[in-house]
Formats: sequence, structure tokens, C-alpha cells
Amino acid sequence: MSVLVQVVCQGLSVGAVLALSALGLTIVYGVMGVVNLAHGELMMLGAYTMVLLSPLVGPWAAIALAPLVVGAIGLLLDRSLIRWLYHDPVKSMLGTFGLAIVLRQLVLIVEGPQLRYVGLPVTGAVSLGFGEQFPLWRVVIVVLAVATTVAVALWLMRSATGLKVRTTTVDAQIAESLAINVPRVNATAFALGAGLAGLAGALVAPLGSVYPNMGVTYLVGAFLVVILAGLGSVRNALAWACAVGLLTAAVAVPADDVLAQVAVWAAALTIVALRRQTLVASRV
Amino acid sequence: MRSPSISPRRAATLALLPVAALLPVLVSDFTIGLLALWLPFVILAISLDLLWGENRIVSFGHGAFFAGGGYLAGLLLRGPQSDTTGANYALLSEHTGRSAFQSLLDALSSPQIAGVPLLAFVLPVAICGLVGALVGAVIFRVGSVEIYAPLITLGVGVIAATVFLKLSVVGGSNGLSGIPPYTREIAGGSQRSIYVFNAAWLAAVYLAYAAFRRSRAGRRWRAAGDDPIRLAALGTDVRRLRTLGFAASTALAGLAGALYVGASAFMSAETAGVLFSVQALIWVAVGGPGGLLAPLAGVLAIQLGQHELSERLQDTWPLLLGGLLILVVLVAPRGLTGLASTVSGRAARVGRPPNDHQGAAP
Amino acid sequence: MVEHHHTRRQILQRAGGAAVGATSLAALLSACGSSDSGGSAAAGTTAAASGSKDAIKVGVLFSLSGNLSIAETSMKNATMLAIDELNARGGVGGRKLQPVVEDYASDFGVVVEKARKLVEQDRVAATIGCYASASRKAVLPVFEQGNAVLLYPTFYEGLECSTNVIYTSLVAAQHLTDTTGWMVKHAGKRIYMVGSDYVGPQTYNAIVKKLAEQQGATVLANRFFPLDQTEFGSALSAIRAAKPDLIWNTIVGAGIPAFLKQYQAAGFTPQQTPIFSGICTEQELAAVGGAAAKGHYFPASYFETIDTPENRSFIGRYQAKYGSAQPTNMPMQASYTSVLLLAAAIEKAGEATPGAILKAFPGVSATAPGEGTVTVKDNHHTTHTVSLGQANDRALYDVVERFAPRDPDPFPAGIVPASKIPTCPRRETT
Repeated sequence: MSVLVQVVCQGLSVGAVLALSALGLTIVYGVMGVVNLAHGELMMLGAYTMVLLSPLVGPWAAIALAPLVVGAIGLLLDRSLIRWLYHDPVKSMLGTFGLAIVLRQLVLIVEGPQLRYVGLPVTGAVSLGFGEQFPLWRVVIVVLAVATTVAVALWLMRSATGLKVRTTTVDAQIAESLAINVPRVNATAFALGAGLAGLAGALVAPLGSVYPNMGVTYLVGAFLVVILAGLGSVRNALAWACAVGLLTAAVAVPADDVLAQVAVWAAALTIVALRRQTLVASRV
Repeated sequence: MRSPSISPRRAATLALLPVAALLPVLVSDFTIGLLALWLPFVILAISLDLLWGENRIVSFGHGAFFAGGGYLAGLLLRGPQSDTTGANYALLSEHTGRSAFQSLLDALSSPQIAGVPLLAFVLPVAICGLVGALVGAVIFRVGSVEIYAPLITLGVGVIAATVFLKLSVVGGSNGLSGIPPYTREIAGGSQRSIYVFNAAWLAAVYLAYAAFRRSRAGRRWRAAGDDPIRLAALGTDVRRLRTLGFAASTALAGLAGALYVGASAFMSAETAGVLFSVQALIWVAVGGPGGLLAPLAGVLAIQLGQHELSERLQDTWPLLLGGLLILVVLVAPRGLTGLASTVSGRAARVGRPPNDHQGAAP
Repeated sequence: MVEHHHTRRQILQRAGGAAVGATSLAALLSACGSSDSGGSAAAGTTAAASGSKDAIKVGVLFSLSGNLSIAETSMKNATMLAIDELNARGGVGGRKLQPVVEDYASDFGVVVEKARKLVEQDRVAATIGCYASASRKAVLPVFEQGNAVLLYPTFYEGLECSTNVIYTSLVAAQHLTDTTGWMVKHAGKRIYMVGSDYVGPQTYNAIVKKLAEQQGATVLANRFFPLDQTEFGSALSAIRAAKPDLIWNTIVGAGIPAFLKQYQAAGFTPQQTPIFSGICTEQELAAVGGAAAKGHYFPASYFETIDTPENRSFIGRYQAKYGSAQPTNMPMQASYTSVLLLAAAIEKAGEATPGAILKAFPGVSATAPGEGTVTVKDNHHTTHTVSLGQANDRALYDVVERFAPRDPDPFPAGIVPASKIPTCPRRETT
């Protein structure tokens, strides 16, 4: 029983972060057909925002600011580079990978290669019974991730801009003919995706350390979710993020984290192999 | 009227052959050694170009096949009775004598040609092709190949890197070291002999690739990339065609890996991972997907650049590389060879009467 | 069907262009191939002949970008500091050291190319470099076949003793023996082991396991993680269930801050379950933060807190040149000391050719800041004095116990079966 509790808590905690990062990827693809390989680096920028701002304004303010800062960077990137890569998966993959190299190196030059420290905003743990302790900060991550996802989903479903975004996702040309300012929608979507990545990075920073290359692992994890969920569906991304988190924990808790990594990937590829219907990029 | 015998591309390729042959005489051992390391990269780039340039399938997992081919060749090249593994695990256990796996290796190493196990040529290609066929069968079940091929091959790379890292028979995280070259008995394994060996293989691959592009099979392959639906309507099993093509590509990648370890004496698990696979894609992108000489141009441009510039511009070399990739994607999607033909096309147009046809398909 | 109306002029232009391109390529290649070899060959021979005032080239081979740059950038800095100071004092036998710095970008293919460049093209007298064992294994053939010298300044698992490498930092048995005894005696006999899934940590854990069991301890589990693992919740649950007296930890790099912070967040305390790390220098600890670091242990031949005049001076000189963003740690001190050992070997040999330097190394000594005398032994490893450090709330280690100096043994008896112990040094690659 205690194993089950551990697996569920661990799985949800990992899944929450995965969900936040996969969400950003999936929105960006859905709206403008860009596969953003610099996504991990956007998370890294969010983590560095925590490193630099936390001592100045306190951790909670830094967490609130991280998505704004990275969102603003995302806006800049979209207007200068990403807009030339719309609706071309291969071109966008290569272009954003070049961007990722540049971002990593810039951070390395400016901040140096060393591991950086971010303190946990809340210490202590929650007792789950069966002798299990669940770190409070992980609870915060789950809560914030769920809240953000719900907020984004509501925004997409209910607000006027959300409607514009969804229309553009279905068909950019139709959106244009409906007098929707498509470039602005694109920029908003990319900024949103970047902001989500920044938030995810800021949330994981206190659990480990921050360094220029940290984004690569998170990118690979986000892609795992996307392979399973298909690009473009928010609901699927969330569901599969939880599934991946739970499966990883289910193998890692009783056995071994290395085995868990191989098992999860092998399972993902098997699932894809056995799928009968094609993975259509379904709409938001 | 029959067209003149030599096409411009042919002329360019033929000009390269005497240069390549003369290089061992012109340049130092060190440079020849570098080239010997880089030529297998060109084969890897060709294997990627086969998928990407012709069929818009981008693979983020070819590093896994390159590494796998390298490991297989390395194990066989080290030959029977070799027992120093990089991991040195064997040193901690009481067990002496050959393990079952080592006995298997000894058996596989016995048929030899010029002191090199025959299977060291055959096995990397065969096994990488087989595994590639399996992976291809998975990939081409999904709808949008353009998007999911990269993602799925990424997964293959991740799994392969993790598995190789754990496998103590190939040295684990220390990598497989002490691999002798293919030419050790023929020519004492000198740098020049390795260069000639690798260059000969590259020339053979290039001739085969060029012939393939001109052939009917090659046209069908290109059609599968341009308009798969129409091709399927005409009765071709596009999925099977693509799986076969993918398998050929991974087999080539395995060959590239095998030739590489003959020159580097070392293979590490990191090579199976994402970063190396993307570097290989950068070669193709910079050279220009679809151009015959593009893989060669791309590899040489990047590797020379890295070699020469990374010492002088230590901090900024990665910035240049990333910036170059962005630039190529935005401005020169057909890469260096695309630029070259634009430039030479413009130059040639100056002296020509109108109505002349520009470079038609090879 | 389109006819190819290529005029003769066009063909000639294109063939000519291709030939020009190819020839310039060849010229470029031969230029880059021969740029330095002429010069350094001359320097080598004149030096051997008459002790001229030409500079002695020294290769500096570290990762300055990519994952490994976290550890290696500061090692390169420490090496350069030593070289600059040595030159300021007049160099070696009146000749200055000329560093040739190469960045291998955490890529084990590039490290082979760079090593070849240093050995075959630049013809350096010796190279100081490498951190990860994989990079050392990758360049071993280059140094052995090229009869060149590599000084390896990183603590490592042993099981190797190349004729062409001088291992200037700790080797596993030397590093861990006294600490294992201390931890079994003071912390308890139930040990839970964790580590990164790499050869180094695996060998460290295997050695500590054997040593601990010889002292009557029990190893409850030996759990490994992928290198990029940052989620340790599952492992911590398993540790809690096993109820060990202490944790032996060889997780490397960015995983360490994650593990230590999550350990604290999950309610563990160092009073109940102290963590003894094998691979956790001040630089990794800095990202853990004082609160989560405090109370845990790490044995090393150097700590920043060691309060001797020469160490304070060393730290001051390093920070004056490179800033105080990073604390000084053992690999940095070993890189610094490597230059001193190399200088001593060149002086003893009387010439700066790799063969002579290698022959001169056994018996050579230098004073390592904060540690004392370090001597190169016949098996190409170095003697060291190991101390056990305990982390304080500034994320630095205070010395808890200083052990007696130990000779290095890359193939420790009792751990490696007698039949498998070779004579050191030996040629590792064919």
C-alpha cells in the first residue's frame, strides 16, 4: 500500500512538470506549426530567472516573474526568428535547434558554467501515512501546475483571444478571412508557450541545480509526452504527462531509475507501433 | 542531338577524385588522420540525406546506428583473445577464462580477410539495417511522417544511449577503446592507409548513391517524398518502400560507424544520443539536403570550421555554429551546394544565349 | 525529356570551378596540417641539443563548453594560473612554458581530434587534461602510440596504469580506504549505496562495498541512476524503507544538488542518516546550499577551508585572476600541482622531450597547496594525504579528520584478484 502511495505521489509530481512543459510545446505547434527544439532552453531561462531574481525579490515573486520574463523573451524571439519558421516542421526543428545552441552558449558566457543554487521556497514535508513523507514543495508544484493548466484551458475556451487562438489553430487562412490578426495570435501563442516553459523551469529549479545545459533533459521528456499525445491537443498532453509520470514512478520505486527510463521509452514506442489510427494533430 | 557526355556535377565530382588521391602525398600525417576520421561522417551524412533530401524524413536517431555499427565493428576488430574492456569490470571479479559472449566473439572473428574478421565488414551493416527495418516499420505506421519520424527516432536514440551506457561488454560509460584499424595487416595500420581505405569506401558509396538517384528505383523513392498519396494510388506500397529506404539508410549509418572506429580506435555511448545525431543533421543542412556533393561539403565545412576556429574563438564557436544553422535555415535552405549552383548558374548565364536550359535534374 | 544543352564554356567553367575549389581545399588542409609542426620540431631538437631559450609547449585539454565544462573550466583556469606564475618566476630552466589550450566541448570524438592535434601537430612536451574517465580512455591510444605524456588531474577509479599517463590525483583505494573505516566505525554498519550509472561510481561503490564488508558492515542496496536524473523521490522512499545507518553516495554533477535537496525536503537529517559522498566537491556543494549540505561528508586531498598560509595564498591568487564565483576544489588544486610536477620532471630530465620527461617522473615531488608533498611513484600515480571533510552551513567542508599519507594502488590487493594484478606501468592499448 505504501508503495502505491509513493508511486502515485511521485508520479503526479513528475507528471505535473512534464505537463507544463509539454503544454507549451503543444500550443506552439498547434497554432503555428513550429516544433520548438529550444523549449528546454526556455525552461533553463526560467530557472536562471529564479537564480537571479530570488535573492532580490524573494522566491514567490521570482516565480511569478519568471513566466513574464521568459514570455517577453519568447515574444522577441517570435518576432525576430520564429515567424520565419511557421508551418514547416523540419525547418522549425533545425532553426530552433540553432537557437538552442545560441541560447545555451550565451548563458554559459554570461553566467558561467558552474551549478547554481536556488533555495526551496517552502521546506518541510507532508506526512502521507505509512511513514511516507512528501516534500511540500512538490505539493506546491502540483497545485501550481494544475492551476496554470486549468487557467490556460479556461482562457482558451472562454476568452475572446482564446477563441481567436483556437480558430487560428484550425486554419490560419480562415482565421485571416475572419479579420483575426493572425500574426498577433501567433506571437501571443509563442509568448504563452515560452511563459509556460519559464514557469516550469522556475518550479523545478529549487529541487536541483541550475546550469546552462539543463534544458536538454526536459526537452527529451516533453517530447516523450508529445509522441504519445500527439502535437496540438492540450487534453491529451495533460493525460499522457500524468501517465508517463506514473509509469516512471511505478518502475522506479520498486526497481531502478535506469530501468524506468528505458521501460518508459520502450513502452511509448510500443504504444505508437500498435496504434491503429493515425496520430492526427487534433485540435485544442 | 545527343547531349554532351559530361554533366557539370559529374565534372565537379571527377575533379575531386584526383585531389582525394593526391592528398596523402600533399598533406601531413596529422591532416590525413583528421580526414580519415571525417570521411565516415560523410557516409553518415549521405545516409541522412537519403531520407531527408529525397523524402523529407528527418531522423534524430542515426547516431544510435552509427554507434551500434561502431561497437559491433570494434568488438570484432579487437579480435579473438582480446580482454581489456574499458569498463575493466572483469578485473574486479574472480572469474577467469572466457565468458559465453567472449567465446561467441572469438568464433565470429575467425573467418578473416587480410587479418581482419570478415564479419567486421558485414555485421555492422547487416544488423543496423535489420534494426532499422524494425524501427522503420514502426515509424511509417503513423500519419504525419514528417513530424513523428524525428520524435520517434529521438526515442530510439535515447534508449540506445542508455543501453550502451550500461553494457559492460562494450565498456559501459568508458566506451570501447583499443580498436585496431582495418588496415593493420595490409599496410601496418598507418594513418595514410586508413585514409585510403575510408576514401575508397566513400567513393564506392557515392557512386552507388549517384547511380541510385539516376535509377528508376531512385525516382520512385523521390516520388514517395514528393507525392506519396499519388504514388500509393498508382499501386506502390509506400510504407514498405519507405521502410526499405530507412533500413538502407541505417545500414549505411552502421557502415559509417564501423569505418569511424577503425580510424578513431574508440567509440562512446554518447555518440548514440541526441546531440551527435543533431550534429549530423547540421552537416546535411549546411551542405544542402538533396545535393549530391552536399554531404561532403557540409561535413568538411563544419568539421574544418570547428577544428580551426574552436581554438581561436573558444567561447564564440558554438555561437557561430548555432547562428550558422539559423542562417542556413532562413536564407539558404539548399545549403552550400544550393548557394554554389546559384552563383555558378548566374556566372554561366552571363555568356549564354537566351533559351538555354539551366541545370536539369541529374 | 529535356536536353542538356551545356556549352563547352559552361562545362569548363564548372569543372574549372570545381578544380579550383578542390585545390584550395587541399591547400587549406595542407596549411592547417603543417602550420606548427615545422616550428615545434625545430624547438624540440634545439632544446635537446643545447638547452636553448625557446618556449616549451604544454597542451591544456579541457571541456570549456557543454556538460563537462561545469567541472573543467576551473581546472583549466588553475592550470593556466600555475603556468603564468611559473613563467613569472622565469620558467623551467630559463625556458617559459607556452600553453596550447584546446576545448573538447564535452565530446569524446572531438577529444580524440584535439589530442592528436596536440601530440602530432603541435608536438607539445606534455598535456594536462581530461576529467571524465571516458575522455581519458578515448585519448589513451593517441598518447601511447604517439609516445606522449598526459597528466590526468582528476580523482578516479583506478584499474589502469598507462605508461604514458601520470595520474596526479587520488585513485580509488587511496581515496576511500580510511574513510570507509571511519564511516563504519562512527556512523554505523548498515549502508545504502547510490550512484550515477557510470564506471567511476560503479567501481567506487564496488570498492567501498568490499572494504566495508571486510569491516563487518552490510550493504543494503546499490542503486544507480542515469546521469541526467534529477528526480530522486522514488529512491528516497526506498531508502526510508530500508532504514540504513548511512548513505554512500557517488551521484555526480548536477544530480548531487537534486539528491541532497530532495533528501532534506523529504525529512531526512544528517544526524540520523548522514551521506558520505565519493564525488562531491565544493563546486557541486555550492549548488546544494548550506542548509541542505550541512552535516554531510566527503573525503578529499584538498579543501578550500584548509587554513595554511600557502593555501590562503593560492586561493587569493586564483580569485584575483578568475574571480570568486566558484570555490576552489580538489581537481583545481591537482591541475595546479600537475604543472609543478611537470616542471620538476623537466628540470630533472634536463630536456623537454616527452620520452625524457616520462622517464624522469617517478620520484619527482611538488608541494600541493593545502596538502603538502605529493610524489610520483613508479606506477605513475601520486602519493596523497586524504582528509575527511564535513559540510558546514556555508557549503564548504571543515576537516574532521586528517588521515596519514597513502601510497597509490590502482589495483588494490584484496579487491582485485591476485591473478589479475598487472605490473605497473603498462601499455593499456595495443
